[in-house]
Amino acid sequence: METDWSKVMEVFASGILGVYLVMVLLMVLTQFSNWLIGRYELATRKPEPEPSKEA
Amino acid sequence: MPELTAPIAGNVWKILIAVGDKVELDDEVIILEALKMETPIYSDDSGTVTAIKVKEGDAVNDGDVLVVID
Amino acid sequence: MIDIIKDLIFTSGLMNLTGGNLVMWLVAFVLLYLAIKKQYEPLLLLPIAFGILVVNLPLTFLMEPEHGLIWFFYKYGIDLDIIPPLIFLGLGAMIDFGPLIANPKTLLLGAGAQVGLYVTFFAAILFGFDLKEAGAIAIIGGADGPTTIYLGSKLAPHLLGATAVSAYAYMALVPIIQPPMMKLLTSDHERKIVMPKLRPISRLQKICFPIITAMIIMLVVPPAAPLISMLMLGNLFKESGVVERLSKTASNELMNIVTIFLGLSVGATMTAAVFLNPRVLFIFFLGLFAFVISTASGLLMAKFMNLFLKDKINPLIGAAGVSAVPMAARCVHKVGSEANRRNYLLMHAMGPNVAGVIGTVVAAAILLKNLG
Repeated sequence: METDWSKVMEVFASGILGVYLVMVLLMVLTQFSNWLIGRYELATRKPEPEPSKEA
Repeated sequence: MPELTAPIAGNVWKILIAVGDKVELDDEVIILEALKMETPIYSDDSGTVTAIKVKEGDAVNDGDVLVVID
Repeated sequence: MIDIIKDLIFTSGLMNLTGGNLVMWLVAFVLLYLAIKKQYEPLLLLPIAFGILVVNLPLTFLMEPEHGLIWFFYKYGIDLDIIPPLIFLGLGAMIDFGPLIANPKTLLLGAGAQVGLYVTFFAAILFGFDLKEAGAIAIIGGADGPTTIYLGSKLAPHLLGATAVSAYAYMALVPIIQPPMMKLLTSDHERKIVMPKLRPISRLQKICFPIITAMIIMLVVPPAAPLISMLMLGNLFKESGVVERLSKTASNELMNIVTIFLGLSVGATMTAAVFLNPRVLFIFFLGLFAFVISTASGLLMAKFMNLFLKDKINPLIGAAGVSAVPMAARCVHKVGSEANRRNYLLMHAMGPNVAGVIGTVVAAAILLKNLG
């Protein structure tokens, strides 16, 4: 059976790279949104005894 | 008063000690169930159990006090 | 009179049995035994086993195109991509992304485990499978039934039965498959690492996460849309707290209904002709290979990340990137507590575990883009 090795390598490389890229992107955006939401919540927080959160 | 807190959220499955018992460091005192898995909780301290703050079947959260040991 | 009896005999399935059918009956009986007696993933294995049994009873035409009952289930449920996304809807309504949001670095562990998939892809090619078949086999390492079935139905439907059964079987065997690899690739010292408590996550964060994730993934990898949109919608049902009826239905009634049709349809693809093929043995071997290598790549990713982290993560949680939820997380917890009784890794392991679900969908989408 003819194996198109260049295609195999393409799938292999683009796959691994692709998954990492997407996950890194997601990670950065999640961290960013966490930070953003944290700031928003701090700004709208009523003064009350709360355990301090560490990012 | 050293408090033994839950390290994870779960349900109290078995309480292995009673108020007044003497416990040593690392004794198994409570078994929690989390994600259908038995998770034994070990004592942080040696001493006498002065209070048990939960009963079997309670749902506990990360950080809830389980037992007080003196 | 004789004619009537003759007719009855010759149109009966009995006369048309092949040896292959009988072997498949044996396969069905073994799977039924595993499902009922040993309780290996019975929710899936029981309908699958029964599907195998009925499709290997000749002349029932249950899988006859345009006519068979089960053919209709298969056509509209799997071929037309309805069932796997609906399973993901239910899954999303049951999943807690909290540990992941608390520690977004675990997304990288979810990615790490998927490397094992591509290694398996390579291995499958070496075993003589063509590109599409290799893709359908590789995804077994993602340890995710619906994704395996989704990709399999699109790339290599003739392998669907074997790949699906492999995926579910090895998911049930995770407690046996993973620990040896975990102990091989980590030092005792590493396994003892205690991880700090997960920071609490606010409701707003839990609501934003599925929305952001859905948008990003669909924008970057559109083929992932059917699965990821449903997964995140289900999660949004759960986290919004305002549609408890929908969330409950998605995670209970819907899941159960869809599981019934899924199992039956997948099992019914396994006719003797399709299944009794030496290549099926390769698939079972490669499936195991996929699980082992994915565990390894997850563990190695964690160790790699530790080179750059001040607060070291316990590398064991890397193994939970193999998204058998929550089996892999439980397994990590168990091995961790064997090293250090005070280590409660379960929740920490859930981060990579659910990240792995997302990772597997992305990996499948990329495979689909390249090979579909």
